[in-house]
Amino acid sequence: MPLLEVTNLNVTYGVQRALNDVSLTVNEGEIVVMIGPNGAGKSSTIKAVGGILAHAGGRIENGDIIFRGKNIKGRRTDELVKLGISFVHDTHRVFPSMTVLENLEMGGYTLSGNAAVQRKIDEVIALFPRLGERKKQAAGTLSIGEQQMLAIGRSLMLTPALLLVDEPSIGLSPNFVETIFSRFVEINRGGTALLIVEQNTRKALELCHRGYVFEIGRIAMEGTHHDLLENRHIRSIYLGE
Amino acid sequence: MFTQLLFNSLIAGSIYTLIALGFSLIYRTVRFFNFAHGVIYTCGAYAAYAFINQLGFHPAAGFICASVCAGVVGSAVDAMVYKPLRRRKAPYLVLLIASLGAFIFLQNVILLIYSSQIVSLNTGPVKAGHLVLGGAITDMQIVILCTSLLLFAALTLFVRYTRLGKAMRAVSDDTVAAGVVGINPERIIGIVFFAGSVLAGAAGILTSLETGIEPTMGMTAMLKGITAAVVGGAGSIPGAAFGGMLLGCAENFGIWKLPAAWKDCIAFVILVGFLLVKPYGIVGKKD
Repeated sequence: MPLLEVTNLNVTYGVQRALNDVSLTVNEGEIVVMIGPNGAGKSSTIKAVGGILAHAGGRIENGDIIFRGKNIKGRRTDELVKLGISFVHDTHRVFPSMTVLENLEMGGYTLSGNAAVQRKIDEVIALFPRLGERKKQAAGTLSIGEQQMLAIGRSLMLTPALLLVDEPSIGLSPNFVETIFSRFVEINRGGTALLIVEQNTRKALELCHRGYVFEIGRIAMEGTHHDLLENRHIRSIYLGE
Repeated sequence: MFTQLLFNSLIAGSIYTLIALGFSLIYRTVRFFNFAHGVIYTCGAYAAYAFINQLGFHPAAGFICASVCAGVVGSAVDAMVYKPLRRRKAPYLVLLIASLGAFIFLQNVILLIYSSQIVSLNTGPVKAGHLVLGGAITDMQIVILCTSLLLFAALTLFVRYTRLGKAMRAVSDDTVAAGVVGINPERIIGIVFFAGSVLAGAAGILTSLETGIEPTMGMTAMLKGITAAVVGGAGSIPGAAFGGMLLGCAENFGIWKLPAAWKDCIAFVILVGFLLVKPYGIVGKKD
């Protein structure tokens, strides 16, 4: 049984249709990426899975989202977190007036016991030492790259089974992109499956185990890391070779 | 004269601070001016009247029970009026008007039960004040000052250090992100309304230690509380205290030279002045 199974998902924004019968799966321990041009439906898909589509003005018309055998369609984000799904926004959305440390504590809000929270904070800081240096600083004063690290670190506090990441490289300098992508590999080694929307096609395909190519609201192609990297269509259109 | 005016300023300021604290706590979480806050203040005063005068509670026990009552009414208004509106994604203006509606509704409920007759709390015989540095201060006024200070300190520490307090800050920073870390924002908003309303109720009770209780007392109190909150920077806890004290001083020192009828006018001149010159208040930041 796959960890996440999305079947025939249809999403609309008002009268505008954004997704047509999108189906995809993520298995335990996999890194799956969604690539494709802007407005192709990648973000709508990840937002629907993460339970924040309504905040963006979207609506799931029909389709199912099954996580570990349970239909999670329409669940609130705070319920999804308890089931093991964490979401990282493309706009980071840290708590700006709170310190880095407090942001991480909030990531562990549903953990019981200070010792458990502290242990996870130490783990996250080991993964992103930069956050340790800025512990006492208000999150709103961090650079965009640091805020992205904090958002990812915060989402790891509960050791999610599935981490959803919407456009992690947006607005980041190449250095930060390098760091964050290498951390994804480490997070994945820890047993967390990742579903990532990414604009940077080459980086995304190099990172993933499998990928889905979105075009105008539907999935145009899917395949493994090798299939997609070797595909002539992808090489000419997305990788510019 | 100066000492006396200072005492009066501190006492009025501490009441304004309590109202402004509750108001700010709610404002920074739900981002609308909750006008019903004023009637919660009245509810607190009448609940104290019910517990102390009608049921014969000890004043301290009556104070606690009545504050909790005000908290329950405040969170009930949220659950029955604002929450359904939030679910329908009602804009700021609709919530604002709904809160005015709640204000008028509750004020009339109180009027139905207790009539417009002014009543006062039974807190024992009136005693002469103590003379301190040339100013008089009564036992009741000392109680008002100490209770306000205690509640201010308790709220500050609670919001800064406890898990629930941090969750409140998280929700006011970013409701969506709060959901993403597993906080149920609606639950936290309910708690914020409770806490903010307890403070408003407490302010109403403390006021009635000195003056009579009447159904319309909430309107002026609310306007003063909002002024204090805006002057300090709406949404800021230290700002509310600062705004409350500034307002208390301005009013009481103002009537040193001006006729006493100008007292309320001073408050609103300050409000309009701040809105024009420093709309985000002393410590407030632009959103």
